[in-house]
Amino acid sequence: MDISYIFVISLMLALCSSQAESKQKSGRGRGSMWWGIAKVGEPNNMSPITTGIMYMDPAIHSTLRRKQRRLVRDNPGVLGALVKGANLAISECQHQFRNRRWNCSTRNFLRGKNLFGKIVDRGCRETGFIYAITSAAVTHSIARACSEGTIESCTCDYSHQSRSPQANHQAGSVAGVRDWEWGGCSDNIGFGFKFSREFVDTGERGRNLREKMNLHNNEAGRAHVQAEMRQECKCHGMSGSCTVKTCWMRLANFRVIGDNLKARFDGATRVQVSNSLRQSANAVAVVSPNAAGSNSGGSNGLLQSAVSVYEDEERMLNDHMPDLLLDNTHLSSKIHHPNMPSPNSLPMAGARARNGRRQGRKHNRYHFQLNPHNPEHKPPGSKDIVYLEPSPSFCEKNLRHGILGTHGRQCNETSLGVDGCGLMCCGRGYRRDEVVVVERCACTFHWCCEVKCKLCRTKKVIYTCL
Amino acid sequence: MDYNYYDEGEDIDYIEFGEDSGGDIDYGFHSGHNQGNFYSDAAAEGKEFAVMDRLVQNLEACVQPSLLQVAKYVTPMLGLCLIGRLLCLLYAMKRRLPPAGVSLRDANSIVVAPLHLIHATTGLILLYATLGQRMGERVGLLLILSTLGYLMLQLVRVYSGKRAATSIAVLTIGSQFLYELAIWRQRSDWPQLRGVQMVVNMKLISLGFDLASGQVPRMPGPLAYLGYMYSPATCALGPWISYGRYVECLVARGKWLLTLRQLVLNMLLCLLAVAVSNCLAHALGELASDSHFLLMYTEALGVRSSHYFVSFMAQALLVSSGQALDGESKELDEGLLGPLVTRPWQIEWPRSLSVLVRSWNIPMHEWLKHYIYGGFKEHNLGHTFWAVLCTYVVSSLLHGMDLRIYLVLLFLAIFAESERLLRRHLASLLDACLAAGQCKGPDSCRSSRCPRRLGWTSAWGWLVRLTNLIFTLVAIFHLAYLGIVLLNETLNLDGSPVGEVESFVWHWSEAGYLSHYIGFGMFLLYLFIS
Repeated sequence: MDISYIFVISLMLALCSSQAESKQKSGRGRGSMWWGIAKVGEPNNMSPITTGIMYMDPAIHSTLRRKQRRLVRDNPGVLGALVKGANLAISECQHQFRNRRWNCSTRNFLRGKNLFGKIVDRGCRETGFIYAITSAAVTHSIARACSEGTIESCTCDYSHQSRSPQANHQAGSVAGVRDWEWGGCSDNIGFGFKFSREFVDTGERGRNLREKMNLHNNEAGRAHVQAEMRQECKCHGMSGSCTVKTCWMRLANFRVIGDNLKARFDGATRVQVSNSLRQSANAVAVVSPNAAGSNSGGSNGLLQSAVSVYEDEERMLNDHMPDLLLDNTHLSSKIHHPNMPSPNSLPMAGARARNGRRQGRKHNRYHFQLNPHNPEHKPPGSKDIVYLEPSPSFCEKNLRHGILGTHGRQCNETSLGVDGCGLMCCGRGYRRDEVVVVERCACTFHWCCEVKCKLCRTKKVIYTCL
Repeated sequence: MDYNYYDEGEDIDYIEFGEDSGGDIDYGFHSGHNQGNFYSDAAAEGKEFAVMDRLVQNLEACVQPSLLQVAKYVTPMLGLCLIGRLLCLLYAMKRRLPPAGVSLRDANSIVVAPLHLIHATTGLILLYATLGQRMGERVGLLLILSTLGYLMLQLVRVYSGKRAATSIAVLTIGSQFLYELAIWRQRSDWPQLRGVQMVVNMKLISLGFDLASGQVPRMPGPLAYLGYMYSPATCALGPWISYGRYVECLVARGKWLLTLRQLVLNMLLCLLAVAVSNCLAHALGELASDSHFLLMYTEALGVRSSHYFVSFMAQALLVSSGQALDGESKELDEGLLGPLVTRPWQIEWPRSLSVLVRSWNIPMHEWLKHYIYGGFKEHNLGHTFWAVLCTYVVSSLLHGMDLRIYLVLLFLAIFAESERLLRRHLASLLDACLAAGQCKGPDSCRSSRCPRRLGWTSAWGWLVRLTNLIFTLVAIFHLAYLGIVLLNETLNLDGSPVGEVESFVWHWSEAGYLSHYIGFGMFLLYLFIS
């Protein structure tokens, strides 16, 4: 019975992965196609944004992977939050990079292509930031939608709360959610965090370094959300009892998360493949308690992570192998750990049984430690953004790499920073234009709560890169 | 800031960013950037904008979820109450029960049994639906406890008269204490069940006394008992009602339109109270962080409005199931809101502390007055002091093992009593309307110097008004000072609520223990005058 079970699973995996493979040959940004759902419901897609029709939207079909579509189907109401989250990520990214040569443009997005363009194919800092901010935005918007009650499967639903203490223990990192069970709503951040892991990290298996980088950056984005968002609850009831509990979010502005991530972007760590894999496996096994400790806090973290790292290395060696074979070997090696805790509380109705065994692996894929490129630097922490290769200069238009260049961008003449004309225009020079701007001025704040302004016409000098 | 990180060839890694360096981020106003029209002197207005931003955020992240959760919580309860009421009405119409209602003597008859059954079932379903997960287990536990209570009630058959009732009361409170000790340690959800169990205990004790005194002629059968204990109007959030009232309102024949109006009004107030309690009080506290008193006041406002929230919700349940309360006061507000559990307006602007205590939880006050204090006085068991002390002890013990409540109740009793004594003495001394209780209007005011009778021109009238105002302000200060103790620290997900005790001790020391001085000062002044 057991063998047939394995057979069925592996068959399914094979089907699933081969389909995904055929869909996307450029294996680089495999897990990132879903960003395209930010554009779902936009007029050029010709579909009105009504939830009933949204499921059938061909844009969704083409951007989401099969597992992601299943997640969306099983968690009604989640799609709106995802669209919101993706747009949140785009606008925050564009805000954070408004003064940079690369300004997070999504202008030449075409159906079937990556939202942020071909920059995603490279493993540079900007890519790392995009991954981090999108996963953070999804976590954020899902958590927010939970507390607003728009996702049916997460707020005051008691069905998914019966989690075993063991799983809870493993999910300890997940938002530090205390199991305060009754009344009110369940742990919103916890749900957002887990959903983001399931949804955003679908394509990233952590097999090669690039996928590890993506996983790490996704995790970093989530960690930042977790650090900034606080769910608070309050009890109400007859004289100090706790008959009714209400929960809400305290200070969850995504701008703060964007600022934090930008700071990490400025201090991002370059990571690399080690020279000798075997050696690094040992080294990592020594280092890993740090990483695992911060993640699981479990006593068996060391063992698990060591095992998983070993497997990861094995998979890295086998990177050229076809997916089918890989998943088979992986499964057969995994079957010896039947006691893997199923850490999940996401309600995936039909998928649970099918996924039961895969989940043990999925959680382990987060237990790895990347090595800094420069061995003197300290290894990246869980909140750091990592990258693999230096960024291109972004100066000249290069469609092959999806770079728009800085021609025609506005710059600041007096600034010495990257928004200054010298750096922004890459020494090509810039044009000076005088324009009359009407803007609000002399604003005064009246209690409470309005701001009164005058309209002023001012001459303004605008500098544009050539 | 490194901006030349993309220079090829040389890779510069900046990793001096430690794990925690992301902490010092400005929380200022940002959203102006998106629109492109930035304010020229944004820096000067930064603070106000930040405050506004916070308020808007607060609205989005706190008020909205809280209201939604409360709405989701309350709707099934209200629905069940209405269904129960409707079923009872239908049954009464079918059986042609007399419109005068069921008398206490017939409460056990077979004709009435289905009514009890409806009440008990809807009540238990309500508990089941609102207690959250593992509800079956919890309802089971509650049922076991109430069965124990019914067994205790049988003591009335063994003993007779007051002794039985007193022993029931002692046993009930003792068992409540035992549950606290035995169950609270085991189960993290006991605080949730405690409120339910507290109401059950109050009902049990009152039933014991009523049986002993003959007000309830017959021991209620098991079904009637269950119906009384788990009547949907009162089982989840209280308040206490007497068995007599329960039987009287078995079939509620109120006007539906009136019910609807009162229901809507109560629900609106309930939502307002929860928004204030969860979000606005805290936000106001941040605005008013300059003055310690204001901070204390707003934090305590959170505590008070939490109580209003629960009370209004209880009132909504009472209205929807057509349940009347004990106590004979028929006021204007009753027409508006239906039976009153609390009177916030008399708490927020109290005439005196004793009025405040009476308005806090009216049914509970009635219960304490009628069964504990009254029972004590009736038998002349001693001086008034002992009666008050006994009332205090019973009230504290009923609340379970909560040191902070003991503390609040103790100081509240002392302060209220000393204020009452002083004001009574002043009133008789000056023959003015200064007593702790409200003067009953211009005609019935017994004292000669009544501001309403004296009119607007008399100096005495103004003096009396001023004195009363000062007492009111003192009471408001006491209220904030004592309310801060009950500040139920919001449960952060990162860890357990920290520093409960430290927090209120800190507030007290910050206020210089002023309330204690005032309270004891009043008492000394009273001693000095008399």
